[in-house]
Amino acid sequence: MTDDIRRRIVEFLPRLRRFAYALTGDLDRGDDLVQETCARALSRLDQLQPGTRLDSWMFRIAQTQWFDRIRAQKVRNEIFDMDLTQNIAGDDGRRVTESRLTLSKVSEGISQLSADQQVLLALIVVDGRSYKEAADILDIPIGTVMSRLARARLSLFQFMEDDAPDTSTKKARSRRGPSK
Amino acid sequence: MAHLSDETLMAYADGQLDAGTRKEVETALAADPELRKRLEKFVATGAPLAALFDKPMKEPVPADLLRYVLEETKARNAPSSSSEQGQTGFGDVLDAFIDLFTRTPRWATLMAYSIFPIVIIAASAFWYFYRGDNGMQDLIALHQGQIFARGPLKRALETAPSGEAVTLGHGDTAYTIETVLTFRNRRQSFCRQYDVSGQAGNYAGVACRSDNGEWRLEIHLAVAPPSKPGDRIRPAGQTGSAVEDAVNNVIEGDAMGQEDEKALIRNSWCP
Repeated sequence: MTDDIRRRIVEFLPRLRRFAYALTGDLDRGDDLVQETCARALSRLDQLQPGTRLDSWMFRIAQTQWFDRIRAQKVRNEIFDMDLTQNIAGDDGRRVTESRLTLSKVSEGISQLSADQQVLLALIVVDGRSYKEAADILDIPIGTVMSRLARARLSLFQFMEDDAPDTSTKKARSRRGPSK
Repeated sequence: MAHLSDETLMAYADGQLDAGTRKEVETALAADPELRKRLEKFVATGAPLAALFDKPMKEPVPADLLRYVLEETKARNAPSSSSEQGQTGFGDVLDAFIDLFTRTPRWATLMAYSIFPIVIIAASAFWYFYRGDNGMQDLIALHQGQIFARGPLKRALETAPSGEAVTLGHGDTAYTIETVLTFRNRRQSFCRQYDVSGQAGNYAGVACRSDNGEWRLEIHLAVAPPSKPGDRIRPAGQTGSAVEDAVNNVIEGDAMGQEDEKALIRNSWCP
């Protein structure tokens, strides 16, 4: 029976990995979170109620694990890899660097959000759940889900706007001719 | 509509509004550039955000994570001793299953499987297949880290009674497929053991049907070709193959009888 559940868990490992990747901003740390989640889930199979969706149950466990981690790690910047933003590549490397910067920029923005907001973002925007599904998984009212998520996304948007990329600033500078 | 809240605009961006409200919002948006600016913030932090983290959906699950989920705290059969006897233990079948998801086939273990040399197909490297022959791409598709049957294989799994070889397709892309038996697994899904032979080679496997009608390949192995054309793909009396062991490990009850199977096929697999 457990073998069967393990095989079912394997089926949504990609989604769990994606969820954890969005939360942590880093594939390896994300995979650590996934493994912890699986460890906890496998040790608590007796608590799984019949009729509960296995994936929702596991996402709920992942969220708890994440909250525990946040509480244990007061300094959020530890998760974010500073090397990425300091990578100044030449012209041929610029496109690659820019796209890496975007991911790292977004991850940095996400890391500035509260744990509640991060989880909602990862569940709804990244994992594609409806507001109602997220409300059920987190056991909070749908109104709370929506207002919290809206605030999270507005904060994130603001963060992205405030930090204009270096390259565009440089471009603007070089274009500025002698003042008339 | 008086003032549109952020939540409503967000719900619109996320496609979470009912048709009526959606129309009202669209009308308001058409008339108001300020509203469109506000909407843009939610659009920008919606789907594009998801795309940034898409990597785990497009690559195989790392082998060690997979192994952890499948094996943690389990005692494994010692592969070497069971292989020596020419029989495969669950551990070997598990290795085969894991190898479906990882790039590196473990040749030494695989050669020990049965009287025929067997090559495990790595699901992630679909390309691994394409290097040599291009045939199998007609029969299987990789989606979110899983292999699914398609084309002639899917059709055969869906409609061909067990024990009757069916040739589907034409010329170079012709395949002879024989479904061997049908059974239920512990999840009560319907599964079928099958053999395939075509220009790309000869394979045996087990596929299980999900509610949406897709057949997911649980195990899919290449076997040596029949000694001459016209031979049954699976010579009678062959025992101890990895595929048969895989069936024995997941079957619940007995294989389905012919009449029951025919009825099930007629009924599009609704029991």
